Amino acid sequence: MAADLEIRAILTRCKKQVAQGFQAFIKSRHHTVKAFACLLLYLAVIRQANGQERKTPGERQSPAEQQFPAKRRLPGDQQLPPKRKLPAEQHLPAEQQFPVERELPAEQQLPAEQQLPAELQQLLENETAATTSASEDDEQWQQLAYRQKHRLSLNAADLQDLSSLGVLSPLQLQNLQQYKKLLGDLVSIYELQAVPGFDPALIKKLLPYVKVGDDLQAHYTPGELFRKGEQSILLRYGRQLELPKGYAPKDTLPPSYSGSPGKLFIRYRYNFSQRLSYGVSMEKDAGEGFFKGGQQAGFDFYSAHLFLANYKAIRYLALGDYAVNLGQGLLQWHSQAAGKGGAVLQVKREGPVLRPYTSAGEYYFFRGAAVTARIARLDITAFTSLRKLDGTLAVTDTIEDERIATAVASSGYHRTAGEIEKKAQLTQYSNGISCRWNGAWQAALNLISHNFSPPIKKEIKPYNQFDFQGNQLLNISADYAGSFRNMHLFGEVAADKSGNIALLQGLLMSAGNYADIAMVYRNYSKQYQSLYSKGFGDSYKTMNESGLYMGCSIKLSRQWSLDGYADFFKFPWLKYGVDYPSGGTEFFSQLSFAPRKTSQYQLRVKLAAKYPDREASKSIRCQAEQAWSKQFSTAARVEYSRVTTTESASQQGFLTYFDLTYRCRKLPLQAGGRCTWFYTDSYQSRLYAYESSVLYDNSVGQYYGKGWQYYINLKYKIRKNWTVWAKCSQMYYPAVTSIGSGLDKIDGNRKSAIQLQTILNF
Amino acid sequence: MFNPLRLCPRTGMLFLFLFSFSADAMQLPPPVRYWHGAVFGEGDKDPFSALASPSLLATATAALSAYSTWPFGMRSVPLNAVAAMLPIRNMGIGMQVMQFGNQYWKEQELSGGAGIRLGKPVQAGVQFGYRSKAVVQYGSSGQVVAGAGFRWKMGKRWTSAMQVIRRDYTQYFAGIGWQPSPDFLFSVEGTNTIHKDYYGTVQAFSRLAPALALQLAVTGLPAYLQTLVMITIRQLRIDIGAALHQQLGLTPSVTVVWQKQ
Repeated sequence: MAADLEIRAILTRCKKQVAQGFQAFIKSRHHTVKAFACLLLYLAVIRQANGQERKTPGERQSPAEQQFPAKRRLPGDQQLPPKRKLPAEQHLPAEQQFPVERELPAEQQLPAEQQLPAELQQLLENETAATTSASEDDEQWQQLAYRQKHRLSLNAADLQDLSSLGVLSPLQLQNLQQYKKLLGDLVSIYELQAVPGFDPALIKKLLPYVKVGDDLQAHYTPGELFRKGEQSILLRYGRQLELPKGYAPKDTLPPSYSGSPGKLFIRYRYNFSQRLSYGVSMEKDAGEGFFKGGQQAGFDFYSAHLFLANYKAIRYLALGDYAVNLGQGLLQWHSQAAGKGGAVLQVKREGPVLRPYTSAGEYYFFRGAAVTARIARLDITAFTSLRKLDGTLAVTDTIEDERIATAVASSGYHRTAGEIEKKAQLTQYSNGISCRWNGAWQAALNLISHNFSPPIKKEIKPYNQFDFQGNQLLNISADYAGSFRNMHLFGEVAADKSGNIALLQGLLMSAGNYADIAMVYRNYSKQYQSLYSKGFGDSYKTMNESGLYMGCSIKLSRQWSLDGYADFFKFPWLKYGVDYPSGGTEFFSQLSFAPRKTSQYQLRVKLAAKYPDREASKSIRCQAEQAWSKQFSTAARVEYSRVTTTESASQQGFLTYFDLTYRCRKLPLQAGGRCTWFYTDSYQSRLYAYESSVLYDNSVGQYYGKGWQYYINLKYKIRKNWTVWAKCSQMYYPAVTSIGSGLDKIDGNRKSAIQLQTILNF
Repeated sequence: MFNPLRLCPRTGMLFLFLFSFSADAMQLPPPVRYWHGAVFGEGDKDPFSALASPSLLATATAALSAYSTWPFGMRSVPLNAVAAMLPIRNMGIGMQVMQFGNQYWKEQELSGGAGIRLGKPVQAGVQFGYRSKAVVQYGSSGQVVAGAGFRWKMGKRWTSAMQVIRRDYTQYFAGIGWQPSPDFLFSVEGTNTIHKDYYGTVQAFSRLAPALALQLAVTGLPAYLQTLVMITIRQLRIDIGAALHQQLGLTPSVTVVWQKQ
């Protein structure tokens, strides 16, 4: 025991010395030798502690022997009488003598909950609040779920693979790279504690997706790539039980919604080690027809993809549907993008240039072919896409009678005759190229061109007069990223055909062991035009905005951390609903307390003010999560918001919910539920909260009015490779007689929904 | 036995010394530099920040500084100030002269303060001053300004400070700072306005290199963003700062500090 304590003390000292030495190395190289020597000693002590052989009696005993010391022989007069044997008929069967609580075999146990990480949940809440609809993009979630089953090797993975997890910031990645460069590959997963900037909380977030060891990179033939992977089929059905007005026939006319109220999504996917993926997806929204009406081919949306990665000189090859992400999103970004929120340091857009597209969303993807070739450190990406978009067409009132598109629809709904009429009316032909240098500093040049037929010509209003019009859109940008000591710089400058500029410059800085700082300056011209951009900012359009964002994350202690940001922004031109140049400030702070690994508490305050109409909003949120045991966990939230404008009285909103999750020990069953109570004065003070749903389904609840919401989630693993989910939810508004408006109006004060899903892996 | 009469000459001298000078930053222009932040840490002090929080004078070192700024970039109404501080045994004193405006309109302040150590963790300070305003053809007016401040080192890493200043209204300041190492300081301070609104200022200070430090401060009302780069060359320190007001624009400032090490 004394020797164990001594070894632990040496280990702790060595770890500290190594970490300190490495930090000092960042500032000065004089401590290199000291750090290296300490690490060697540390590794030697680890090996010594793990591989120590049993010594003869009298010397050091193993822990097991210390718990259960060898039996001592009693003196003759104290010896126990010999055991009596029971007659044969009184023998109990072995399993009844000492019944042991049987646990399920490992392969039948439910894996650790494949929930969306908290940062992505927050991102979805913010996106839904800004766009009023939850994104259907689940590719990141699929990637994380895949990594939980096939962990990434920390030693073999490159920078892009690690950054695509979305867990490590550029500073942390840089520290890890520097650590491996200086001291070689990691020997054990526990060595992560020695990497500067890697605290227990971060390691806990990272552990489900990474491993150390087994770093050999296997080489596969093309045939093996197509044979040795995993296949999965996902079937999801959802339906609102109360029929909205759109399904009711109007006198002698048929219903407005041509199809059934069920929403159906089927996805087949083959995936081999993230190196080869192919599959098809089919989706039908509620109200859309199925083999009738505007959907004579069956489903409303079909998608197929073939995606190859890391095959000889090909970094990525995509055929079919794929997503493209360039730079910092000023030019082109299809995937989900972090914005302002609880993760104050996640301000940099990161992700692979090409990604397979397998989601149910019908707008943010390309359809065609794309390839990234790697020549030494240079990645050259070229892509082309030809697809149809939904749009409203009109004929110009001129002699030529020219056909134009007055609006582009991105919702993907084709339920009513009007929506079906808009389907696939616009042809979009896109091409692009990107050259990226992957050295210590990365730099890239990007070019993208979109051609539309017919041309887009919106009705000109003061707020949209600078929006894109015409049949060709051309954008070019240059972006860079690199690290210098404890700072990581990144930025992008983009221009459109008319020379209007969008600029973004960011800095991530490590201010010692205790704090990290993020700063982002953006300046998007009011006339800058782009199609699939998602630059960092207050609004979700990359135009007409300038601002300065500063975020800070502070580790007050092992248990306490404080995050916050301040954002000063300005809109030089008008916006939809705002008839004058405007601006505002936003302040956010979040205090987190994690006393143990099983519990976390958060207090969040957000203050925003806009001018010149002096609109102010305040929001306070308290959240608590507690895992009482491996089977049972709870979560609760209380949130208050207030919105004040000069035109209306103060509007308040209040929400509270309680979550319960139970993982059955003897059955492969998991049950979860939530009960929410909410009250808001109006739609202005509405609140949002991420809801747990079936796997890969992004569900964010929007709460306004006064009422209750409750749901129950069940997950059952029928076999090792076959799992089913079921979700039932209901929203109850006691003080109303109808819910919704227009074709979505429901008579009554309850709105119920069910969702069923099954995934079969083989 | 303690005889309070023995303190009279010292107190009297202090009072006379401080009576003729005034204290603290002016109402106009808006705070272009967050001087109060230094009270929450053990680091870069200068006469201006020490006079803004007089309890800091208790740990003063001999220093001289000059400050200049153009509020919102207006060159015709610059603000210039000079200040000095001096340690005296377990006390420190400081004085400051500030002028804002031009020959047609100007505000002037004459400041003075003193700080004293009350044991190891607590320091206290007082400040007195006189502020005058002169407008051509309209004459001038003046008022006395007074204030007091306390600083308490709660622990190895935590410092709190409180201050009261009486001008045309009574303004209170209270805040707390966390300094885990000499190279990083984080503080939060709240204060009130004449309209009984409350706002906060958050500050982060980071020493990037021995000769280079960065200070960022965000004030809530009005919303202000202040950045400061501090360059230290031996006993000389140059602070280059900028404050951003969203509607009124940028305010540059420069401070030169000579401090005896």
